[in-house]
Amino acid sequence: MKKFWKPKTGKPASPDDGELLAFLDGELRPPRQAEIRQLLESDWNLRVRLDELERDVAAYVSATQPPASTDAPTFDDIWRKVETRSTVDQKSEEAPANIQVLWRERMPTWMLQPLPLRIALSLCLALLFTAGLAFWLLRSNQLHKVSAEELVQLATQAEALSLQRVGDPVIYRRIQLKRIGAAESVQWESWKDARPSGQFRQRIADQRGGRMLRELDANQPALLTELETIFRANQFDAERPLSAASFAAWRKQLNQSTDTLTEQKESWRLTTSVAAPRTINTIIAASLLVRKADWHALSLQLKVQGEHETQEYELSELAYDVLPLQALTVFADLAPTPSASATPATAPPLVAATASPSLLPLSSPLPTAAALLEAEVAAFFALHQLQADLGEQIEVLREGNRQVVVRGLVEQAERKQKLIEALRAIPLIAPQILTIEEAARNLKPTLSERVSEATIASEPAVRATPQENVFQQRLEQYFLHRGMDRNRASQQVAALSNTIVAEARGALSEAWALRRLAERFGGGQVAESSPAAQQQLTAIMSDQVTRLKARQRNLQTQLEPLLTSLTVAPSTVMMTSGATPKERALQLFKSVEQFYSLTNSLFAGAGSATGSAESSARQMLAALAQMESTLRHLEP
Amino acid sequence: MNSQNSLNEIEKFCRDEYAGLYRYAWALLGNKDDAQETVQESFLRFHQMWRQGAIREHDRALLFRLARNVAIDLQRRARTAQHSTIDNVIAFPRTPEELLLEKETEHYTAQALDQLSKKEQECLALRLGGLSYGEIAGVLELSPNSIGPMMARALRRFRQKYEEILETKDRETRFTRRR
Repeated sequence: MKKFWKPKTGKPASPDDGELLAFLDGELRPPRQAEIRQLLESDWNLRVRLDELERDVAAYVSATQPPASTDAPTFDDIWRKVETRSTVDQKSEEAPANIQVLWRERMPTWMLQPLPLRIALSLCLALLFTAGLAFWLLRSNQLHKVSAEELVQLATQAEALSLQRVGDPVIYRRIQLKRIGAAESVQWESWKDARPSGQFRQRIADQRGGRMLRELDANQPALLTELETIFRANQFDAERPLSAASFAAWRKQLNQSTDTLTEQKESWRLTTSVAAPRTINTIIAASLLVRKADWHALSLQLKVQGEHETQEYELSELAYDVLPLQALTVFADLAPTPSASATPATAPPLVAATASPSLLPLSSPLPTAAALLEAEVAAFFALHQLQADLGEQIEVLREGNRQVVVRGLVEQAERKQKLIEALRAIPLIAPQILTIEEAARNLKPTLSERVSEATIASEPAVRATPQENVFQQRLEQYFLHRGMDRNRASQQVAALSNTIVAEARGALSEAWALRRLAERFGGGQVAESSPAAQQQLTAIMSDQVTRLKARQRNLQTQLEPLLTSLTVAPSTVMMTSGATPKERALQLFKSVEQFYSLTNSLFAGAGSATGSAESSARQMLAALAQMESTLRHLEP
Repeated sequence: MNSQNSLNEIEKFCRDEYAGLYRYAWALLGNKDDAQETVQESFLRFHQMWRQGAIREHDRALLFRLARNVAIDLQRRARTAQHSTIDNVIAFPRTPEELLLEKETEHYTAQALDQLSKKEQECLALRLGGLSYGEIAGVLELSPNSIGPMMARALRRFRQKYEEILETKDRETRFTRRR
């Protein structure tokens, strides 16, 4: 090794031990190697040092040499083991690293790239993913969304499919017609034979009650007439205004229109606005509400150009069904004309459809609770008008929230016919009236029992048979004191007894009817029903209260002088009155029932007359007073 | 992945280096089993690294560095003389005198080597393994210029110590015989 501080002379520098060892190991550069070799030839000490170094090396090599006896393994032995272990390691690496291998093979060639490239690739992938996600979201939204055209198409198809469920389909619809902003509303039922030029039948229920309508019927509500005019003016099918097909046909013939589609929770609303010049009765905008679940049209709102202002109408479906023509009798009494609209104006008036439960839709959709309530009230009203609510075995029941059944037994076939005729004109009512004969002949034992009960019930529960009791003796004495002979007095007592018993029974029947009405409609349900129903109910109650008052007055007129003469002290009764009409009705029933019971025991001898004649007289007077007081509170 | 040719190539490289590596391992550890294990483990690690593409060419310095690491691990685990003696006895039956001599030699060598620093021992062992000064410097992370002087110094001290031990032993032997 060179020593830079040594002055340069002609003789090469003597190497130290390190350089000398490097010389021995051939690690020096060839020129220095040559120099040292030259030095060794001339330098004795250097040769000694070199010799010492060689001995150092030899000592080390000798000491660290494996013993001669040690059989060193061959390379092949070692390598075999290396290969074996390498294979095992490779497999054990591969097994847990399968995922890594898969990962490496499938995806990540880009991940093995340099970092900048990896970042760039990552960004590209992120962009692609975002774009894909956005596309998917957009597409998924589109899947749920529909265009106006698609909505109309789907609703029309759904309607057409529903007609294929039955042969000779008849579309039954009950629609509530309303002019927005006005209280007036009309329930419009229609039966439309779905075949081309099929028959059409309609029934209307408004404040004037329910009735079937015929062509150019003078009784047609003004609201319906207005709508018919509007539909005709706009080429809208007036017989199926809520039909998606009708809406589609109207929409198609528009020249310029704008569609607005609004998604609601369970429905779509398509509003089509007309941009064309507006003339009177032109539909400016029509809004069709379609149920998402089955693409069924539920309601139609119309904005119509009036003479000075616009009018808005709403047609809301209350019930819908597709029924087979054969199952209906609604067209049975129609003249065999191809279409109701083709019936001449001079056609014979349509008579009411024959009563049949099949007139009503037998499957979904169910009528609303309000519709059932109205039907029920209407049934009560009809029965009341025919005085069928006064003790006849007739009951009004709801059947599975689908319809109202009026079930009962009557004595005569004429009576049955009368009742059925009155009831079948009411929608949602299924009359099931039988004569006692029919019931006894055909019905099951359980009903037979009811028949016998009815028979028994139809008999007077008690007959006024004056009995020789204290009260009657006092009555006879009363008449004797007025100058009658005994025979005449007895006849007078018998006649009075019969009259009082008959009046008391009549009052009880009225009280029962009132009680039934109060129990059924006294809970405030009527407040939610239509004004027509409310009016009907008020009319029934008013009639019943009036009749009861008449009976009470009659009884009081006949009994008061007699009873007062029998008792010394007038009865002091705590006059109570219920807080609600229902409570008052029940209170009235209680007092009437008590009076009837007393009458039976005192005048008809049906029970044991307990207590003295004075006591019985006081009780009857008290009952009469209570009746009078309660009736006063029940006056409508 | 490397081809079969490459596999053959690596095997050839290891074969060439086997003797030096074994010498080096022996010099460091002083027994056959540890030396063999060191060589084998070094080859294995070298083979794995090469298979994984971590090394591209024949890197002798790397091979010896691997061997050094393995040897250090073995030394740490103190698995040296006892095993080798027993195994050698089992593998190569020798006379008791031969065994005693071998054991003494190993013992003296170990004593002499203890006088050296670890770096000096490793440096000498690597040279024994056939590595050039440059390669030794690479393995030990030293300057190549420092290898010659360090080795010369280490050799001198080793020899002095070793001879000293032998002389002492010789004196003790003579003294014992005299008694």
